Amino acid sequence: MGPATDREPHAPGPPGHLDEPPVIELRGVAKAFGIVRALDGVDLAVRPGSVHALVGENGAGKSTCIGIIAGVHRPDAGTVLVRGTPTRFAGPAAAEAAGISVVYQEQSLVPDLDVAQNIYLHREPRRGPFLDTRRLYRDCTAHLERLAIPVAARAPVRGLSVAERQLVEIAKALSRDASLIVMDEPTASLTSVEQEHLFRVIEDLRAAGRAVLYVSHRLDEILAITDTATVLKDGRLVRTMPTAATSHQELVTLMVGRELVADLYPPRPASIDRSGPPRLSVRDATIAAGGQSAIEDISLDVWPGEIVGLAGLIGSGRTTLLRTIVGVEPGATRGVQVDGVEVDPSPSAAIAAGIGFVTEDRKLEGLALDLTNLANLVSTTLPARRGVYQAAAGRAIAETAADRASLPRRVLGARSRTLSGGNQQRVVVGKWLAIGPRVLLCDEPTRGIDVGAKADIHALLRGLAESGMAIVMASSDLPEVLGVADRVLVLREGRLVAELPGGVTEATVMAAAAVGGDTLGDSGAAGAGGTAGNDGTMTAGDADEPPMGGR
Amino acid sequence: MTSVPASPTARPGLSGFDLREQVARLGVWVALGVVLVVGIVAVPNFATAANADAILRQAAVLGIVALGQTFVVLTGGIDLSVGMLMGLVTVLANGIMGGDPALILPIVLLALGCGLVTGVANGLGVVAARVDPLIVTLAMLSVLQGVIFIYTDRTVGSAPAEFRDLAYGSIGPIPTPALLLGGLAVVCWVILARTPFGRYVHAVGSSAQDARKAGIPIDRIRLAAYVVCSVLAAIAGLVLAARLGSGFTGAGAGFELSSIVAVVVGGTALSGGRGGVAGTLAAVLLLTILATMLNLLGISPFAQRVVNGVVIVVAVAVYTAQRREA
Repeated sequence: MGPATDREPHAPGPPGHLDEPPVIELRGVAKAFGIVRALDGVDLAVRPGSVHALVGENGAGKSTCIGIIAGVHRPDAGTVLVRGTPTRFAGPAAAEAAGISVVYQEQSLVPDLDVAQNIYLHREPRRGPFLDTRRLYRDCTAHLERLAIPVAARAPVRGLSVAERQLVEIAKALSRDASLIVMDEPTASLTSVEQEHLFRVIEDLRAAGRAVLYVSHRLDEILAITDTATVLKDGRLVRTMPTAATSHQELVTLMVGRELVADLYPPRPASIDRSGPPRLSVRDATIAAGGQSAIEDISLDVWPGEIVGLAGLIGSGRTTLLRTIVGVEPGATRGVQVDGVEVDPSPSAAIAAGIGFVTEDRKLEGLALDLTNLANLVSTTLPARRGVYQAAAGRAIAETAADRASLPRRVLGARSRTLSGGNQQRVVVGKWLAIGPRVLLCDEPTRGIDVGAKADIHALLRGLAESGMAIVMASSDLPEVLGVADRVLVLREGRLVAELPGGVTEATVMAAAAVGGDTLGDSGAAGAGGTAGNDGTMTAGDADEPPMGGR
Repeated sequence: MTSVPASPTARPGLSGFDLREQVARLGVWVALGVVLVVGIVAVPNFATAANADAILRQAAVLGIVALGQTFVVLTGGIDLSVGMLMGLVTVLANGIMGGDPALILPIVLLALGCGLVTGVANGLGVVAARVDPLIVTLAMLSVLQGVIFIYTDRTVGSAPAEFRDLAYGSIGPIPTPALLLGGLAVVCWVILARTPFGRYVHAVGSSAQDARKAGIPIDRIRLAAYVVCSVLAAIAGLVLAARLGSGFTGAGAGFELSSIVAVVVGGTALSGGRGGVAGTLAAVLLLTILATMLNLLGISPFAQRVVNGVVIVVAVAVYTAQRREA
């Protein structure tokens, strides 16, 4: 998400209370997994009252750093100091006891317990030897209300969306009276309103003298809310500096080690071909209660060469819409046509019609992590003759798909689990390129991947669109939606509420997504790119300022 | 944008009510009701006090071992050794007592000791040696079977009358074994639903990795579940010994599967994490009543084995399908 558009930029100044010892300090910490040196002589000190950014590309060592601070990993060399005292954590419980609380990126909630049981897991209020359930729910409800998190204390975690789980995760970390809160990509699945909210919470923590170690790929956020930034690259410390003294460009350069294209979202020549029928046409997609949320009467058309962005808050129905198009939502009614030909509601019919679906959670839905990348790449096509898999043909398909997704061929034989997030995403995209898609649906295509890989994915999507593909991209990352899409559809509470051209401001989209005017679903239904409603004046503040990432 | 996020949370059931979840939880009670009604209406001699008494007595043995199995399955494990442990306890108890009531207390302690040792061994195999519980407890089954046959290869000993009261006595109008089952079930329910340990049993089974991140000592929880399971199996073995009255070497055969059937039919997920003893108890009554009906209808008792085999696959398939859709 972009910078905190309407917040006052706090004076970053010197980090926190310099006179107090750091809440946590790593000195010359090294850690290897097998032959991989994940960390090599890293120094890091997080002071009370500081919001400290930890940045680096995937594989730079951020996760290992967090693991050591959280007591999950033990360093091979170097010292960990807690408030100036050298400490060796025996496990996560020891780190927790030392006042360290972690919001993990890969979520750590137990699915069969409810929200309250998760938030207070292993710290349950007790009465004698028994659980005090009444107090558990009372405390939890109060805590959630204080943070204004719209999730019920008794809701089973299994039924929550990814974003809701993320909010619960944050609530869990904040329910401990921790002096250091580590946040690993906390905004990865949050929409802008929720992010704004989180930033306010972080600001409160800072004001209360807590320390926050903030890990994110979103440099705009880093620049907006942190006061100190530490850059890691290849397991080594590159530099620690006051955030005020750095820039987006410098951070990228330090992370990547090379000058990256200055503009993350370069303008794209319009290649939309409206001469024929739409490549993808959806009519009246409705589902009363899908796996995640309901949608109602959504219609849209996407022409060859066009990228349509889907924006909306959590639960607005973006994922449900994509799943409905592909035919994996039971009970949905919809009419889907590809190039004017009706597509039956089943994933196999969708694939046969040339619809690829890059799913939201690559680890859960997108990849068989323990299979090779080659196996994943051919999983959509599986060339066979008389029921026998044709290995040579499979390899050829995988190599072609890998090339198109700019995945190095040498990793084809490796298990998908071993890849970085960015490369895993390339495999997911690649396996759909293998079917020769005419339509590509992408749900959060760059979630949790580093800035370089993200730009590559964007370039890839643009290239595919230029080759005549119709692309629908749902994303919580609003600058991404606005920067990549030719046209933006805004969903709210399962309805299509606005249709906007790609270049509009974030404020315009957010106004439609959160506040919303009249439902515009009818007029926007078959629109070919005309703007509908909403000029952005509904939002107060200096929201017109472009995100620091530029477009 | 000064307002807090008013994002709608997709689900209308903010209270966390989930229809499918309730079906999975309550289905066994509905089935129990249906079977009772069918039995009362259609099966001769079913709705008699004598039959109710018999059903409760018969349910006790399976019930107690199934309570223990519930703990292990909730952690995501499985214990195939419970049946053979019950067999060992039966053979040792009746073999050693030989009708001498003075030996009752030592025998009870010996049985509990057997349960403790077996449980610790199973648990260590799973958490320390990191061997799949299926293999660990199958190996334990073989070990226990070996021990039985080293001790004797024929039916031995006898139970003193005082000891047989454990299976055939009554306290007031209630059969002693049913009272024992009821008491143990209440204790198990309180442990699982109302204590931190019970909460951690669920957490470990639902996601061991996440439970560990929350600081839960997952190995200790798993180990404890196997110990609880084996100790309860040993108690079930004592009731079985009292019921049979002699040390029959094949006494415990089949209880490993029927206890798992009871747990699964009772709504506890084989993958762990959700379920509990209330469902298990209902399933035990259901299975016992079905067996009694087969008996009253003159069908071979071994048909129950056939039913068990079919039921476990069907039950798991139904619950899996529900979970997939949910």
